[in-house]
Amino acid sequence: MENKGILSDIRVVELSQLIAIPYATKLMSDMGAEIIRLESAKRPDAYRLSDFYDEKLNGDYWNRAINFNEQNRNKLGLALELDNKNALEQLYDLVSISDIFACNFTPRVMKKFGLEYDNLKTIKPDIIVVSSTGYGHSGPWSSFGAIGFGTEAASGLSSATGYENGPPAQPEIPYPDYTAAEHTVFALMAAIIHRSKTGEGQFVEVSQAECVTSTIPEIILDYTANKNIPKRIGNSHPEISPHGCYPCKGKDKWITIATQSEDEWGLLANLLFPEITNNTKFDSNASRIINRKELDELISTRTKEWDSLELMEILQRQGVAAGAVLNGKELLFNKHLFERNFFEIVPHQPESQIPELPYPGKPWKMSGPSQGKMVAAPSFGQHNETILKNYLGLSNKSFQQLREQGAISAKIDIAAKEIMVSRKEKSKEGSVYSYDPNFKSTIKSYFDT
Amino acid sequence: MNPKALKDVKVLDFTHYVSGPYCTKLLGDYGADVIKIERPVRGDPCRELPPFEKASQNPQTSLLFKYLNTNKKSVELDIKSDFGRNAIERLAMDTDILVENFRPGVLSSFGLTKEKLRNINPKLVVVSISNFGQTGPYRDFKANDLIFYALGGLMYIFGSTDKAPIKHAFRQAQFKAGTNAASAALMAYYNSLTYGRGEEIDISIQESIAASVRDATTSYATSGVVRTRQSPMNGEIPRTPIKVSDGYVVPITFGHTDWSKTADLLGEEKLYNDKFTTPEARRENADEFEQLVRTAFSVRGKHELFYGAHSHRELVYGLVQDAADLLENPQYQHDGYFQKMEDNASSKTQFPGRPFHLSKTPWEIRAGAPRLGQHNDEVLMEKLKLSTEYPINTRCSDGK
Repeated sequence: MENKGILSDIRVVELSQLIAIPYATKLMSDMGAEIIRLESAKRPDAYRLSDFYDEKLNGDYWNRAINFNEQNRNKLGLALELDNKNALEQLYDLVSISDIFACNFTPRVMKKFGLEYDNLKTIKPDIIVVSSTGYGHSGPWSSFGAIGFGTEAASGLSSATGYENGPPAQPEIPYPDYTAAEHTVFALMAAIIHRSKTGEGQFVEVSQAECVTSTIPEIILDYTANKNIPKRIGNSHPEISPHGCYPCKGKDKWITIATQSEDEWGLLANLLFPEITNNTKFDSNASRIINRKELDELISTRTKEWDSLELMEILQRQGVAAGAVLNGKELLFNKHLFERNFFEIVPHQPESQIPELPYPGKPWKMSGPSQGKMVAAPSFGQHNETILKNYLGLSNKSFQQLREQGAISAKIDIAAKEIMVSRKEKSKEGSVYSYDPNFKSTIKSYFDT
Repeated sequence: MNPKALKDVKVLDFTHYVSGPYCTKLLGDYGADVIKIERPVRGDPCRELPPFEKASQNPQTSLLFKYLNTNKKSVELDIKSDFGRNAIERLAMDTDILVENFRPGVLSSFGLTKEKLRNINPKLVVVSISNFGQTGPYRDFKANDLIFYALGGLMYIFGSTDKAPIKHAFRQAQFKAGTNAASAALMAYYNSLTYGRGEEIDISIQESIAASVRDATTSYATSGVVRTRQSPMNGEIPRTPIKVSDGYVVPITFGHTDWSKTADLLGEEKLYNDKFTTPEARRENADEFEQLVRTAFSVRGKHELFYGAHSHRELVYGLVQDAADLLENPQYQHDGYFQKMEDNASSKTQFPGRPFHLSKTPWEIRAGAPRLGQHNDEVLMEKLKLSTEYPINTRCSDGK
């Protein structure tokens, strides 16, 4: 691969799905690590089967799947059917020339295919194996399948999150997968550093729920020390008022404001309601907390007259913490992120007929010539031949035999119509905000691709 | 003592509040030596943040601070003073990773420019965490977690379409940025081991959120569709927490293929009626369906539903747990996850332990969070051989 980032001497084999491992390895592939993404035609990643570029389902639709492409850029693709004994042998051989084996299937799957650490270390003594599961690799919940909405609930985060007097709430993404992936990258780098100094590999066990619990110490500390269980209070803050999300001019436009000092409060009040002076209900943070509801309503009546971005700029210029609530389109076109080149322009496989597109970038910027060039996510089975022949030294004949046995795959045999869901249709039901038929030209001109 | 993954990694820590301290905690908990520089007398303002142990003898010590600053040494230095700057420059010579979360430009204003640090120690990795990064039009914007959720794109897709967007409780954005900072620091450190050259790393908390909102932007970029928040139930089992007799579960199903299993689990015969067996029929009878489903859930217990669902395997329900549930949770107990605060044997306080397990080099608390200035003598006198008359010697504030 042309990617020559600072992790370019690290090779990872991943047996994965969705986000928890793919996002972790994506962060490493963005920095130059070579990632070999295993896939199966019998059990394709659910992200191969939903949400397609421009909603077109003709042809090799699985190579046009947007969530798969997003999570798997800069990776190599190898489609092995592990139920086949010869395919599994190829995987073991691949492990013998790799640094990391990463998996986010349940321990049952790892055991079934002999992919546990104790077995893989007999093949490659200094291998680093990571198992990322919903709840744990061993123990009473280890066999439970999980997606983010389940692990988020279990972690404790949902119990404290939600509208006042309402049920627990969760965002519309599998949130803990990201928290777990971020910790997984750290864990793997620590293991790599240990190995580089000692020659020793190890087993890394990531519980997605436990990772999230580590980021909400507040609930554990306050409960064990004081028996306090936090109430759900929406966007309010127990110690600060005003602190909330207020409506602005236009459809579904909002601004968040967090006044963190009396000075900030004074500036906010002066801008939004200059005619109100000396109101004892709001003259200290303590009284503003007591009269929070009334104050939030008052602020809402005034913010409605403002454009959210304009109000944010004015408040920030005066030194008040405020942020417009950006929807996906506004985030993509946000001038600050644009100036920082946050979005990466990523190509796609030519046969997919998807143009270069902006995708969210890395959560860090590094100086120096350390970052690799963006390479398209692999089409299904794209690197079967490269990996098996060039890396593992298979002859043409052996490669053909594997193909004839069905040990390797080149396409997915699931009819597209079975999995069709139209986002344009969803926009009519209200589960998406809007549909812009001119999105292609809008993006092309903004990012100059 | 166990072997440590980050043995001999030296970290100079100029961080305060949450994002930076979580970064250096991760480094410290897996073995790095962390020297935390705090401003004299007041120290890290996180020392003043709740929760506190109200019944203890030392109620002024923030438990959040204690959690975030395990395995660190505390040294009081005034960066603005010549003495402080000199001590810091000498420490930087023998440091692998420097982490700071001042506002952009503040470290340079103290004379500690990137160029100067690079001169002192060419292999030094310098990690800067800030609200919106070191460059760009929002560079000097003020923010807290609420603002990061708004400008990071996560808030817009969080909550109900008929209400204002909301955010997670507490300080998720800052923890995310701290985690990413720790990963980036190790990547650059790993590189410096080979090439002897450090890196400067710019972490924007806004970007830590914006990098992890899945298809919020990609949905628009690939299909012109702008995603929004949760819409009303509309004929499907919600994939959001639903009330049961003793709490909440998240009834996670994957489309209509799982429908009969959900009906089986709930044991509600009326759900087998033709009015509800197809997605189209359910949508047509959405109100009646919702009423029936909510009632069926409301009379069942959370553990019964959660364990019942997982015995089906295709149903992967979530169990909403609060702190009390978590402490009793058999998986967390199996993993030995929760830990006691060591410095006070009579304390009941526990805190989250390992976020993940490294089999050969496990997570370990070698030392609890330091008192302010606890390691002044050890670091300034013994390590740097500065005079015993260093300026902050006589006023170790609450160091006792």
